[in-house]
Amino acid sequence: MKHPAPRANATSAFHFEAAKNGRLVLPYCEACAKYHWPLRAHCPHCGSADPGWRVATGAGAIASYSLVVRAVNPELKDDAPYVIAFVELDEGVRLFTNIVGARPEDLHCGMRVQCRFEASMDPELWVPVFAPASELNQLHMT
Amino acid sequence: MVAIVGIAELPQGRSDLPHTMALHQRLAEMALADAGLKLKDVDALLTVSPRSDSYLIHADGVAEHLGIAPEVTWTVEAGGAAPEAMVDIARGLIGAGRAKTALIIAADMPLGGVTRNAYVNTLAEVGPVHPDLERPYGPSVPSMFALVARAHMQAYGTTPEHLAAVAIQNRRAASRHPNAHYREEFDVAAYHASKMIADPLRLLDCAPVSDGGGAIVITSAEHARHMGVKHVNVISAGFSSGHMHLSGAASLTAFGAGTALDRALALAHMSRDSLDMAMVYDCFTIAMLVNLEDLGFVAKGEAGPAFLEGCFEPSGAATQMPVNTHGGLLSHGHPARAGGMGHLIEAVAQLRGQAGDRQLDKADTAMVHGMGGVFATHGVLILGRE
Repeated sequence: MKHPAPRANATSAFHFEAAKNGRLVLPYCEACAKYHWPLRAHCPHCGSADPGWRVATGAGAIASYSLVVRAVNPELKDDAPYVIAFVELDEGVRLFTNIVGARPEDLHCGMRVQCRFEASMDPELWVPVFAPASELNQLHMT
Repeated sequence: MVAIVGIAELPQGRSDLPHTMALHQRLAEMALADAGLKLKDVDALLTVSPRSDSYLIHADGVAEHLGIAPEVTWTVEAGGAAPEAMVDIARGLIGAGRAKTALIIAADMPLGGVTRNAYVNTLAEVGPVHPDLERPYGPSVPSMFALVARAHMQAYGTTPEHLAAVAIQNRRAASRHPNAHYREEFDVAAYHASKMIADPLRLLDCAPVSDGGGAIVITSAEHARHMGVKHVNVISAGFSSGHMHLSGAASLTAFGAGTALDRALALAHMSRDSLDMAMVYDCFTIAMLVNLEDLGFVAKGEAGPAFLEGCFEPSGAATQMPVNTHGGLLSHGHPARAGGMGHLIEAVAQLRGQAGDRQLDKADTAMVHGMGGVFATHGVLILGRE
């Protein structure tokens, strides 16, 4: 799936630049030691200004998902059907994403997933997607 | 206090008018005629920017076309809460002495004005989808609501049968409305046979794309009494905003409709018990269920079973609160940027006792709810019979 590109120079460009290097980075507040998402001007937990970024584990669980039968973005016409989802990361934030590497009928809410990365139409900006955390993946993580 | 003294609505669906501006003109003329007023009486014109037409300041473009020069020509952006927002702005303008007669038009022609595919694609580009955080993953608007539906099913055991009950009741209501886009009733088997759009939402879970909308005329309640027309008082209004994009929402199953209603009720010193009907924003079946819960008309997670039992029917043994007697966005029609205007016009028709076959026995007060984005921003009006 070749993803429509996020906008360069937008608030979250750093997130997508890091994805190109295989890292999931999220806004992180040093003051209260919590992640948040989407990026805010002030930490939504404690109000501190200018939250930084920190690498996250990329491990989480499916909070909700849906199968898009017909793509509305012309770029994705040939990729449909595909799965969109919210993944609840172990860091406590919820990411909008795609679930890849699984048959839609095998998915369920609460299913453990792990982050991986895919290219977008902009070669500098990649996007985090998620695949079921296989036993093998879990072994690697421990 | 201000009052609604005129309403206008044309059949929703595919319009045979040549363009979106002609629709605005017709609605303006009809609403003013209903109020017994003339175009030159309008000193505030409020519109929403139609997706099927483009002007820098749409309301000023409409004024220019109509050949009038009101002091105020403003276009309001509040998504599906725009009808409530425009009424509240009119209250302010009239209360401050800036305007005596406000004309509010919310109309769009996504079928007749542009091609349907162009419309659907535009909705995905600039609709409620975040341009960076959501668009790269290819969501359609129905799929965003499908995520809420699946989360609600997971949390509360809501079922496709509950969603079907919403779709079927709305269609039954629309079958009694001469202006409704879809009037042919269907059963639960037809619901299950309808095409899957974004699992778990089927075609019949989604509001149609309709040409339509409506217009209303507002003046001071004092002036309304002198005019001697049948009018409806705007008792109160309330609003809320919690997020813009679903990615920024605190929850996937509970949102801000109730906060808007609480604020409106507090200003009016009223309680939910004193409302005779609720017009609830229902761009998808799941929106009806979630909004009914958030509005506090049923406990969280119980809207599906309650709907199936008939608690929200216009009448019947189980009826607790009649909702969307016109068929809602789901069947009366969803005129793009003008979504929710039909809810406001139905409430006024009910309160004036002019709802024909749909007329409720008790229609003294009404709540009208509008919603912009994916449960993002909410507006509530409380209206009362004079």
